[in-house]
Amino acid sequence: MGKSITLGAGAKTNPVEFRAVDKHEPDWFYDLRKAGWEFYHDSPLPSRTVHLWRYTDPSMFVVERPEDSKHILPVIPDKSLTGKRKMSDRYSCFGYNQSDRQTVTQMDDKSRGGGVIFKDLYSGLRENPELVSGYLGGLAGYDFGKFEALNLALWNSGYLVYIPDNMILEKPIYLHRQPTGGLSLFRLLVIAGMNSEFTLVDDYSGQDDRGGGLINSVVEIFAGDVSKVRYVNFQRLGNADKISMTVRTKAGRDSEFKAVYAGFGGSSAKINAGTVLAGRGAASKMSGVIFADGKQRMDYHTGHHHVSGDTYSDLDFKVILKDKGKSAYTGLIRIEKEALNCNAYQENRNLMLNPGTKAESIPELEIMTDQVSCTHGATMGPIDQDMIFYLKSRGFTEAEAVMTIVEGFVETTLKNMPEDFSREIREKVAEKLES
Amino acid sequence: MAEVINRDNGLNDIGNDYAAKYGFHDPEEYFHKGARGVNHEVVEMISRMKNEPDWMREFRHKALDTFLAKPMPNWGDTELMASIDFDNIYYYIKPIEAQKKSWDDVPDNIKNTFDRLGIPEAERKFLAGVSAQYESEVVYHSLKEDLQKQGIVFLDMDSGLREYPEIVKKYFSTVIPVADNKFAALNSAVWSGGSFIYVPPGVDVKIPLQAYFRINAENMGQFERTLIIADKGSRVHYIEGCTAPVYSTDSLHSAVVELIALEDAYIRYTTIQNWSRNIFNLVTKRAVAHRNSTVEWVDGNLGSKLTMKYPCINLVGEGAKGEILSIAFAGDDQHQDAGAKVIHSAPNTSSRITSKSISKGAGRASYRGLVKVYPTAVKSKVSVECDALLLDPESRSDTYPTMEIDSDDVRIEHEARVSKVAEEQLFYLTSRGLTEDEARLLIINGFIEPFTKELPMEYAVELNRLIELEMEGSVG
Amino acid sequence: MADKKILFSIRDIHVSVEGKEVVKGVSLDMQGGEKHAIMGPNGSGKSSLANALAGHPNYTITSGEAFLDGKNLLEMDATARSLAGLFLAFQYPLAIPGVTVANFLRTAMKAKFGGDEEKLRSFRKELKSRFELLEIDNSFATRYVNDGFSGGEKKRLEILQMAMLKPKVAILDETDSGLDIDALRIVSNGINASATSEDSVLLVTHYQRILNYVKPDKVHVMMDGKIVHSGGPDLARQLEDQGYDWMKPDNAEKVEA
Repeated sequence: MGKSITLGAGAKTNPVEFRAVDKHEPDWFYDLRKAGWEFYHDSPLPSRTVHLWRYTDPSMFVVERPEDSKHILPVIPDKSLTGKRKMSDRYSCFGYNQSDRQTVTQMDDKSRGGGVIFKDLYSGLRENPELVSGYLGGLAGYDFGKFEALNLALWNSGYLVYIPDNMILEKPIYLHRQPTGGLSLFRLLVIAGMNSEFTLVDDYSGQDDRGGGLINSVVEIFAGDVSKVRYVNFQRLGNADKISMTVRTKAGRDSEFKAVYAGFGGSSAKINAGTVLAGRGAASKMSGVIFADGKQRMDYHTGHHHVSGDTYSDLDFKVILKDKGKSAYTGLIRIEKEALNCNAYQENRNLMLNPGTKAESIPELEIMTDQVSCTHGATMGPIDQDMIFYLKSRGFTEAEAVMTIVEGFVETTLKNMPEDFSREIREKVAEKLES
Repeated sequence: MAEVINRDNGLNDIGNDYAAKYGFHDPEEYFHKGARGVNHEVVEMISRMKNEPDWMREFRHKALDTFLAKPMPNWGDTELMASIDFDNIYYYIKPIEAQKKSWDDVPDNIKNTFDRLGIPEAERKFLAGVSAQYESEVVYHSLKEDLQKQGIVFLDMDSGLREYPEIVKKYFSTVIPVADNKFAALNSAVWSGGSFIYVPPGVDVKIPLQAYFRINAENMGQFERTLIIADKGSRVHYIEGCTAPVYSTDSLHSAVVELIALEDAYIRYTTIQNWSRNIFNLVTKRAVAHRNSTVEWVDGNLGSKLTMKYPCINLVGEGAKGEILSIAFAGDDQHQDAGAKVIHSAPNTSSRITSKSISKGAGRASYRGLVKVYPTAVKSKVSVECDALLLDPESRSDTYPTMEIDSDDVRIEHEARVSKVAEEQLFYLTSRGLTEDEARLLIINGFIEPFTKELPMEYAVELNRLIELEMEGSVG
Repeated sequence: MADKKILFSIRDIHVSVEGKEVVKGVSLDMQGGEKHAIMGPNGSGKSSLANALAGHPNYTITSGEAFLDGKNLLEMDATARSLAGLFLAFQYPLAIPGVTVANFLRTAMKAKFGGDEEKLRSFRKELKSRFELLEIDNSFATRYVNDGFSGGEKKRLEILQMAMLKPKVAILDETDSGLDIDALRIVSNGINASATSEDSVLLVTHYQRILNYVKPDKVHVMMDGKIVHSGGPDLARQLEDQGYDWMKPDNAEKVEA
């Protein structure tokens, strides 16, 4: 094929070859990946003095010779896998990865008939090149950041989700993402047509018994004008996994983007969730329930960038800490000078269940215009002993009382979620409380 | 109550007399004006002229090494800080007159300066002592007899070192180590003047102690050093206010202020900072609060080109309380990077931070805060409230609060709001006969009222007047 | 007409809010000492008319004329209208945190009457007696304007301002809404005591209730941006009994004032 380059950087002993995925790989995609590859090797580690990386050591996400891993790069999925896990009728679209490279998709008749494109990303970029080439890397491109560049160069399991204009999906799209190797590079590209409406659940789960792995995921969501997109990021990976995840959304005119982050897994999770309010009147609601126990470290960063006028953002992040769990929440609301009449709200609450936990909270504001209304708040503290006492006096055990109070703490956030997933999150919270 | 509105004064004229009123300066008549730049020779000269003990001289030299070795801070307004030319600054100037005890002996030109700032009147009214820093040396200092009788020491820092060497040696630089930051190191090397206050156990200083600081020489650095020790069960309120002449090239003001509140003591430190728009105001202020003591910083920042100042309280004793109340007014091309720090390391400690900022024109006000709670600080309480008011589309406001909590048994609350003067409020007030300018000013005065109500009356009046002046640039 | 001269006169006033016409040609004449009531169902344009006359920037008067004591109000901004003697008691008075009632009133008084010592002294005396009349606690003066006030307290503060500023024409926008019967009585007494025989009061209200206390000389009914009916005090009671439907333009004959 002749499609290969060699790089010296990152490989001191012998230079490594940048491989093509296979002989069908389109040139534009090869070039894009190559740009990411070069950026990954050439860029320094992110500075720890910037807030984004102040609480997590970026070196843990460095892969010395990613090209040596046999799991990198996608393959065209084996058709026989499609029937292996049948899609529940609760979903409109369902995808899972068999190995890190085999990405299997199914959808219901309504979706298919309505023109939904739902397939593994590698098939997607070959079969719908004009669609994918216009969006892939548009929000987290090859130069967005070191680890995002690595993902772009070598991702192995990816999805393409395209919902046509005016299409409404009542049932959620469900992606079950399970890392199987030591290095998983997941990617997701979502394109929501004008006036479309749907929910997408991005569920990362991993077994503890497989040992720890490195998971690097990048999600790009284009929410078209007047669309209503709900995105659930459910992270319940194994307790030894190291996770770096970047979700970037561009919200179009009068669109409404609702995102939920449920964070339970990983020895260390570094999540960067950002929404650009690009179209006038766009609205973003982001909420989170994060629970760190054992020696887990959760580091969630949210960004709301108001670049257009009359835009709205609302953030509500709840963090529960137990054992020696640690959380760092950093959030930035930035309102540009041109973005008149914006409203932005940000709230981060931390509940610390025992001594030895640690919470950091840095809700930042950068406001360049006077035509705004913006508030943020943060609280931290233990469970109110008076509340415990009150419940005990009504016959609750200590554990039941704690459970009740924690449930109440997260309830306001969960009530806005699809029922199935709010139930699973409640169960996950309960499981962690009992462990 | 302060009358904030003066209808007879054509509003557009207000502020035009700023240079005449506050920006005047006297001919430079200095006994000694050192060379520009700083090195070990300059440090040696300062220490020898002051006839200091060896330990202080050695302290200065070590501090200079630290200053030269330390990099500039990599946060805050790094761009503006980079424009400071350390080699083009005078590090020590001694005024022609030695220290004065009574007002009559103060030289006329210096008196003029103070007259226009209203110092003698303030003195007549209720001042306990005036320690007005003119250039780098304290020139005027008085302490009322009754204070002396109570054993209260209120001196300039140089005299403090001469007269109370053992107290100074015990506490000096214990709150802010030399290596704390580059500017603290610089101050430690070349400090001159500032206040030294010691309040004996159980003594309540009923009236605020005040000092006026001024910078009067072009390219002249001002490095005052203040140390306040409130012994067990004592109470003291110290007030620092600054105005400075307007000059065309940049000057540097880099003070170090250390407060020590021993058991059950109370210290309030009030600052109204109104340096002229060419001054870099990079100040390190920190307090240590021992068991059941209270420290309050009341900090108003109106002037300077760039202010970076984050008054800090270390709550090291059980039951200690800290409060930091600040306002910042960032006018055109000003950057007020101000904030607060509280470190809780003992049980049952509590702190409250209230920050108000106003940005006008292309002004930028940043709140930068740190609340740190160590595991030992069980049952502690923290509350942080930041409010920002933006007056123009070009104005900018940033909020950078950091909270690092290592204890589960604490209560932390943080709130921040950014808003503009609401059209509805303006209409409500104009429908009652106020002009839009008057209405806006009234709303702004209401916005900072939680701050002004903590000030002695004269200061509240002066602050409202200063805000009125600040508002004039673009209003109307 | 009577021998008293016309104090307040509006002619064919049209008002738009965000490009939508909400008042579609209202005319009204009030003599000094007269009290008029404008009644009408919600959304009829009553409050829009009141706000527009006071000079609220969101309410644009697209055509028409308004004169107070011969002075053209529409050439003035809100400040000037107030100084000319117009007063609007707001339906929803705004909170101004940090500004005490005393400071606010003093500033407004100074704007209107000038601020020499003599006047400020009499201001304090008068304020005290008005507090008593409106059954307001003295602590009111040191509270922040409308900040954390109950509905009744806000309305009392509006009438207190009316009493202090002594407008020639006071427009009271739904001042009775949200008041219990005691508060209504107190506020009404305040209104009656504040308006002298030279002053005019325009009550904008949805209900007839307040008119039992503040007796109007004339009652106007406003519907869909226009005055559709005018009459004497009895009209209010009739409305209370029969509602507004019977006088919708296609149901009723239009009666000129």
